[in-house]
Amino acid sequence: MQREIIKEIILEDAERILKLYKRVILPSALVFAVFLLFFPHIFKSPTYPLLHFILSLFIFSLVLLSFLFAFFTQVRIKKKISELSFDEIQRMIVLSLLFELFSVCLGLWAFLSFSQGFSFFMAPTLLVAFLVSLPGYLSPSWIKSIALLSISFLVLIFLAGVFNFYPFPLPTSPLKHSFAAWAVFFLGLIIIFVVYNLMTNVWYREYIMRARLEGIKREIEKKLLKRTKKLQEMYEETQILRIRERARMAEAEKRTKELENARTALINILEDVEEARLKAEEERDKTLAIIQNFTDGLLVFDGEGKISLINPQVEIFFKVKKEEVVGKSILDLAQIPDFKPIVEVVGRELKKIFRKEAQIREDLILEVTNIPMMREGKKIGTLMILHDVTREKAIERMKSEFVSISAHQLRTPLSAIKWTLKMFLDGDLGELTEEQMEFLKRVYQSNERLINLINDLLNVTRIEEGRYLYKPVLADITSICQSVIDSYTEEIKKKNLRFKFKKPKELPKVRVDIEKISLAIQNLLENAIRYNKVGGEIEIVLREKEGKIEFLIKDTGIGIPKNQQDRVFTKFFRASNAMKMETEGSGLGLFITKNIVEAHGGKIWFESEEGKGTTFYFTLPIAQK
Amino acid sequence: MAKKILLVEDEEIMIDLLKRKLSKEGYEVFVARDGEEGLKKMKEMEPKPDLILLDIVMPKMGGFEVMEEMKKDEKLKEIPVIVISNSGQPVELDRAKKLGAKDWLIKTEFDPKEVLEKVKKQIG
Repeated sequence: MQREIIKEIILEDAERILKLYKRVILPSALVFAVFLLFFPHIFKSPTYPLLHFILSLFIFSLVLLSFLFAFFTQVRIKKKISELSFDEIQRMIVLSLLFELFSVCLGLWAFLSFSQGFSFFMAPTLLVAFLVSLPGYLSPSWIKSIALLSISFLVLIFLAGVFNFYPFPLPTSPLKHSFAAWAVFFLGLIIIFVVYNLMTNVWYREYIMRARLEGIKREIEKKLLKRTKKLQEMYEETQILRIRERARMAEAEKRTKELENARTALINILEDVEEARLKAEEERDKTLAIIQNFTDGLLVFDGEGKISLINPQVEIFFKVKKEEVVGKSILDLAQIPDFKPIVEVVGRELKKIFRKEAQIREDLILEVTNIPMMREGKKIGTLMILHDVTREKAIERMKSEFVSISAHQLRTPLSAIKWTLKMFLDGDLGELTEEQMEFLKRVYQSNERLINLINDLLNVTRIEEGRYLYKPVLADITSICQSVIDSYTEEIKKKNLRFKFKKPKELPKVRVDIEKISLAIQNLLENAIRYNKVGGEIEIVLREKEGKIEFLIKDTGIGIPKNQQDRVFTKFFRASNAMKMETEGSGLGLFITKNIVEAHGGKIWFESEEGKGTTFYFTLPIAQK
Repeated sequence: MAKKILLVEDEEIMIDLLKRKLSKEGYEVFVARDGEEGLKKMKEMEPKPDLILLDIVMPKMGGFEVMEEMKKDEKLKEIPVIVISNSGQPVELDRAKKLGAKDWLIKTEFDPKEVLEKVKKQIG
């Protein structure tokens, strides 16, 4: 380390000297060199011995120093210092100093030579000697350096001898002359070594001291730098931490703000949820209140078919407690006797049904409605509604009984009258006069009308109860028509009516209540006969049309006034012209006919023109196979 | 030998009219004025009647009950029954059919002549 520092110091010194040399000394030396070469006579004058001496010395030294030192420092130290070892540099520096000394010696030699008389060859001789010595300074080897220096010295001596420019008076003896020369040479070497050691020690010590100081200085600087760097790093770290901290705080602030916002939003949501909850609770309470107080029984089955809710009415119906049935499936309920009829109606899969009756007990009939509860197309449960129809059924039964009884009670005397009159008219109760027969006939007819009226009223009652059709069966409409027509043959003949019955060879069957359809056709035929002119026409057509059976009956009767046509199918209605023609009539016939046709799934309509005739149409669906 | 007809009917006039009509045609007509009497006579009569003309609405025992009792009796269940009634409810007609009635005549729809025709068709 120290040696490195010394190297650097040397380099610094060399650079400083070089700078000085380049800027001041070299230009001066060049100037003097020019004078020396081209105006040597200036220096020749013994008149100015001191000036001569100084100038010669100076010039000489400077020229040589300039050349060599520049060369030396530039080439060797500056450029090659990194390749040289410390010892090499040390030696080179010493040599450069020695070289300086040598230069001084040479200068002295030159001066002294001048005093002896100028020799033109002195300068070139000295130059040659230096040139020869040059490799000595440049060589890294001590032996080589000394050898070259010795050679150059010898060369110098030789040339001095040749050209006679010794610095001191010489012995006359050639041997002494040589001995003196060698003595000077070895003296010179000794001086060189002494000076070298002295210089190295001094110089080295100085450099060591300087190096130490430099080293210490550099150490301190290094430590300082390190510390500074550390402090810088710490400072930077602190800055980074501060920045990070700031960033973290900013982040934390941001997060806090976000949390605040989220909190506010959450509070709002919670408030909304609370509001919704309260609303839902209110609705639920309302619903529960409705359910609890509903007069119909309500059972809610969950998606698995188990009871999740029943209302108090169900407990009353089946004489059970909620706890006994909630959680049970429909099949479990079948174990409870009163529930069995319900289970039979709905089945284990809780099928969808609408108002199906189930007799629970003697005193309880319930109408069952099963509604699947759907959410997003998926069944989530079933709602069963049980409506107590016991009273309605009882009333229905009573009504039915009343109607039956009334019909029976009304018919009983009428049938007695009918049968009696008929027996009279048939001669079973003795001979009657014509006049008696005539009266009895009229009475018989009146009785018949009364019977018909009662029948019509009975039918209307049944229609309004919705239990008109009894048991529809597969039937041939053609034969039903024919049967009705056959029963009116007499009437048709009496009025001399032309009658046509158009029917295809075969017609699809229909599913009808034969008695009721016969009645419907009978009512239409009766009207066609009753309100027809004598000698008029009646045509009945049966056909299949547009997938249905179509019946039409056309007459050439009185027709229906246009302004009364919209009331034709209403109860007790009789057109004014009909009443004028035939006072008898209940006005219920077409009402009953319309209800019969519609109860079979058909349609009825008519076309009529007053004074020309009427055509009634009705359709019936073809029986499905 | 004349065919025997048991007429079970509570209305006197109907009894008189029907008895007159049927007797005129050579039928031997027996009368019971309620269901109970009718059943008793059925059981007592030997040989059994060839036909029973049975009303539905009667005191003591109605026509349906008579038919139910007749069904239980081996000797009586084979006797043909024609119901003559003023009721015409389809449910009653069905019930009568199930109990074995051969026909149902609504009195207001039919007259004694037509009843006679039905009787002739049934027993000749």
